[in-house]
Amino acid sequence: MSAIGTWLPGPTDFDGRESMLGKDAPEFQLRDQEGNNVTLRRLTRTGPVLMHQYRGNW
Amino acid sequence: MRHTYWEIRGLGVEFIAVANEEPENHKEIRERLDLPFMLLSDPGAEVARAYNTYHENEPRERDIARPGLFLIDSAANGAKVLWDHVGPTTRHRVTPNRIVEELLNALGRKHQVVSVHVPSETELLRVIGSYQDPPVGHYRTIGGLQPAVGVEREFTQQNAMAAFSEVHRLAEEGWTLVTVTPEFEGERSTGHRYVFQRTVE
Repeated sequence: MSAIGTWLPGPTDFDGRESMLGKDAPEFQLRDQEGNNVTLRRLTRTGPVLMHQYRGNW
Repeated sequence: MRHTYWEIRGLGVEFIAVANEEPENHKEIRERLDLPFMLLSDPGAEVARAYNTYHENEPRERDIARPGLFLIDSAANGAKVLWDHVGPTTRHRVTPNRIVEELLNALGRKHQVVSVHVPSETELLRVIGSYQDPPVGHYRTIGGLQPAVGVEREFTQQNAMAAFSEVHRLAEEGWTLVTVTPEFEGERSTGHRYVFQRTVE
């Protein structure tokens, strides 16, 4: 594949990463900043959710 | 980015941030940066693995997620991923305006509504009189979601000025002014609420 080809939108973003588009969002249970358990199931009960993943340890 | 958060909430979308970070650190970060959304801890980057954003790091307990955004539909609609964007590094972030456009597109929305509370002169004087440090509250709310997001009604000189500049920004960016409504707390005028709307092509 040409260098430019790796930047074209498609099923893989980069490094062969598979897009999650159209798939069931994997369920999770995580602790918020107060230590309370939060599940995706509960968050999506009231509507759509935009999840931002970022690198920790900053 | 802050005004983008309120635009996202205005679309009826909850915003959460997830990182391999301890809750105590998240608490400190959230307070220091005055973030209005929840920060979730992903120890061991398990969620990053599940969403294909996992990135190994050294030492291993500091494994991280690549910067990613996932729009997940409501449970009633099957909780599928409606849109995602993952960049190889933090330099490949999506711009805030682009995020809102992508969300509108993915959710099939045409109209976007933003409302801004602009404090009255007396309100400004009252607030400046009772000077607050550090600044608290949000100058900006979104139509229809005001109770849900728990908007503060206190204003500081700093974010009152931001409210004025926000109204100018919206007008300059081609938003249509729909209504201007005077607001009161009891007898006291607290200012006006400007409601803007735009249609997305």
